[in-house]
Amino acid sequence: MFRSGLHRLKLCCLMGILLLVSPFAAASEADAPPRLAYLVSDLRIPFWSIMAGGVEQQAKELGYSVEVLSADNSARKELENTARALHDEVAGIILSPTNSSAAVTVLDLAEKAGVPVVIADIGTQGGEYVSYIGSDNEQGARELGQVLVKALEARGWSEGGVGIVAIPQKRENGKARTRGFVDALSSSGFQAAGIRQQVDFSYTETYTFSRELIESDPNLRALWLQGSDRYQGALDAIRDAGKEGEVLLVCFDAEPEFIEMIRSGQLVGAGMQQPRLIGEKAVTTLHAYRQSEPVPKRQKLPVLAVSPQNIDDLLPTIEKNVLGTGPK
Amino acid sequence: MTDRHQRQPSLQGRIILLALLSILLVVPVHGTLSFLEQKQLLLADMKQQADESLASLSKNTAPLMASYAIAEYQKLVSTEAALGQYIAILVDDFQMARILGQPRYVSGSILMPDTGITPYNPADTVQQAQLTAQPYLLFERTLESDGQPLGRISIYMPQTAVEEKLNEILYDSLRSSLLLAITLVALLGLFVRYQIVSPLKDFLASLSERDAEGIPVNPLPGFKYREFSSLSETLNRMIGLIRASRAEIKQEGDRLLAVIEGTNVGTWEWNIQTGETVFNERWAEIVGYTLEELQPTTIDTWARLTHPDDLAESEKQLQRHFAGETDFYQCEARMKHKDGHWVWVLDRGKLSKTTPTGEPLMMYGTHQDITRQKETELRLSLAARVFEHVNDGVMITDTRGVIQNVNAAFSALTGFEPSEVTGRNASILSSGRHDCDFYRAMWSHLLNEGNWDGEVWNRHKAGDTYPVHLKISAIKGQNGATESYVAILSDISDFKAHEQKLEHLARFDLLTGLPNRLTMYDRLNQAMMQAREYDALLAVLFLDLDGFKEVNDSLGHEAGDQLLIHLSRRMHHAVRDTDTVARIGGDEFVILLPDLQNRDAGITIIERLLNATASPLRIHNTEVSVSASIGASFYDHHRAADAEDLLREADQLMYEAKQKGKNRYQLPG
Repeated sequence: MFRSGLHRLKLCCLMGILLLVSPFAAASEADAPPRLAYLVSDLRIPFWSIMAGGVEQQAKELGYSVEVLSADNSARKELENTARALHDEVAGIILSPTNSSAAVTVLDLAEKAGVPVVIADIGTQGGEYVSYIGSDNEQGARELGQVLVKALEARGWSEGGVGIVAIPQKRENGKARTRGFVDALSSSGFQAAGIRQQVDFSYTETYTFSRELIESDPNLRALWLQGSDRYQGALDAIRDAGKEGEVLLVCFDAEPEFIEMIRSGQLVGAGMQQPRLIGEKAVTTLHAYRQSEPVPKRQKLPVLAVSPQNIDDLLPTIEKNVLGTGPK
Repeated sequence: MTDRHQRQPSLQGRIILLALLSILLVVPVHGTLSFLEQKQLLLADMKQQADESLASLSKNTAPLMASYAIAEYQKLVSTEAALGQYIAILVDDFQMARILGQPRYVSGSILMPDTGITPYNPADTVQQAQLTAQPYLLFERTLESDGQPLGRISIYMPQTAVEEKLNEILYDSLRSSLLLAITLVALLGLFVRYQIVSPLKDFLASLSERDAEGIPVNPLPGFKYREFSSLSETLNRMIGLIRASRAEIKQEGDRLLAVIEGTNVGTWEWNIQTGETVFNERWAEIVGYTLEELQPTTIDTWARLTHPDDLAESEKQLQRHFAGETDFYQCEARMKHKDGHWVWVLDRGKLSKTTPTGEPLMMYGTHQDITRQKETELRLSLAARVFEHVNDGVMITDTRGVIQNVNAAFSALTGFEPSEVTGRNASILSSGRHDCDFYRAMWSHLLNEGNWDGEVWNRHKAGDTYPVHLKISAIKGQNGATESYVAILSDISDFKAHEQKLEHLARFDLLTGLPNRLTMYDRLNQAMMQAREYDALLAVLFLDLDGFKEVNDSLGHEAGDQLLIHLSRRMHHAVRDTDTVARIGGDEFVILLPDLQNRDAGITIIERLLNATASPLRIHNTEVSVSASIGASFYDHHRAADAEDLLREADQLMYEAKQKGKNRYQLPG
């Protein structure tokens, strides 16, 4: 009894503090715009910050205030953010979880609190949510594969292997990327020569896997990085292997420098997700839900297969939806 | 079956009841023990399972909890709940509670009847109700990370398994009991009925037919089972033994009765403590009464009839017996006969029971009428005294002549003490003077006539022989057979000496001691017979002294007698030992020379005779000298002559010698 009472006391104090610090504390609930929370895994990563921008922009347009809460890739913080959002009695949550498992807990908490959740990009292993918005990884990978094949063939190569430095294949997006890419290769004279799954996503890991793939197949024609951030490891590996110009590189996702690298041919192509678009779509979907409009359970947004040939056409879209550098 | 038997419990019923009780006692106890054991095992298993689950969950959940991977550990919990078939596994996540600002953050899985393993929701009242709807065992474990508590896992394990197991065991136990009871009772009932009761009935039927003494008449039948068979055989043996024992006792009783009747003894039983005494008819009969006349009988009955002097002896012997000094009591006593005379009884008895304090209690005994024996004893005593004091020696032998007893007179006569001759043959007394024929004749007569009477020469222990008059009589037993011999030896030494003296006087010359005419004739006839028989030569000398009359006249008869005595000695020495010198009158002698080689041998002796008689001798300081004239006749088997003829011829020839000048001899021409 005493302990229980003590807990209640603590809870009351916490709630009081939160009310005091809240900028909305003074405003009445009726006057304030509906609030959304964007629970994002790590805003330090451009992909998510770009997506957050999309969320914020779209929310604003639809008359929501939005609270972007980054977990900084910490499960604990993600939960704390969830608790905070729920405590703030947000009208809805856009969730880009640290992982699909963590998403389940967030969804569970939100469900118990009666708060609708739209998931953006990272899937969930379970739980109740309004809709899932993600990239069409398979489509993007397939098109990227086709870009690579064209580039290889353009160099006069008709056959050879392609090494894959993959994100974990247990992830749905990883599987989809591999499936689409391999599907694109299957209609050409090239085939997947080997695959290494990233674990810690470090430079060293990327470099090492790249070297192993290069050395294991003398006929290797290209490396495909399923992620974007450690592309330098792959480039260094090609260079150190003395295969510059002999082994090409394609990446999934995008970095700002990719524009120039693709243009220069340093990078054959990149499958670029459109995080800002995802963010916007998430808010739109949540809004539709709140408006009691029917929303699809899963929505896949196209991935841009950027090559030197189309980069200039796609550049505005890339800057806006991919890099978040375009006009807001 | 009698009423008493009806009231007695049935063996069959008891065995079945016992079996039922055993089952009812043992099976529930066994069931309970089994249940408790199963329960313990089950609980141990459950605990082990829960522990294993907790251990597994702890190991795998703690890192997940530490990394806030709530969904991940919930998956583990869900899987474990399903695998373990638990009611619920709840995880109290302390970190989450802190994050959420809640007292507790409990998640987990619960088994719901409709949906199966379902994520736990503390707010779900249905789940709460389900959680507490059934009994459970709670196993908990706190999760830690770096020593800091992370949370707690609680496993709710259904206790229904234990209850189900209990019910199962109880039902099993009940079923087993019932089945066992029914089967056992049925089988036992049948078995007892047909294998025990039925044989026992046969047993009883066999035992029911009994003789007058209550002993079964028929032997018990054989049975299938060893125990019954053994019992039957044992009982048969016992019955046999009892029957034999009864027969033996009866036989013994009959024999005892026969002995009592046969020995004609009176019997008595005496209660020493009460004085009560029981006699048989014979006891009363000995003293001339009927038993009825003596009633009531007590020990005083005996005392009243017994001679006062003998009562004292009786009391003395009784006390000795009571004191253990004698094996049995025995006393000869006189009892007053109804007719007034005394009868002797031999009173014998033995103490057979004592009181617990060792006092004599019961005594049994007999009375034997020994009046006749007593009389016989008196007679024998008298005879013994006669035997001892008679002057004649008395010797008693068995039929083989072995000495059994002798009296003092015998010892005086023979020189042998009784101990020296008892057990030895009577021939020890033999002098050797009688030949075998003598004894053969004696035994023959003894055996045929039963007695023998005659004179016998015996040898004294010192070696001398002596004559006795021996009278032997056979002592015959009841069956007429000789049992022993009594010999009476009368000393006839004096008589014989006197007899010999008389015979000597009749046959020898009183003065010279030489054979007289009578003896001379006997010997002559005997010598003639031998001469005839052995073809020997016999000489008969007729000697007449020359000048004797003158000596007799001049010196007197006494001198003449002395002369005759001296000359007789000389003549006796002049002839051979086998020759006979006889004085047949005055100064006439006949000398018989038997068994001569020839006449010259006779002449040699004749000449020695002449010399012997002619040599002078001194009588009363006077030298006297005589001579002899001898006529000799000869006889052998060729000659037909008798004694008279030979004497006459010799006399004649002596006369011729005298005629021819005396101091010479004359042979037949």
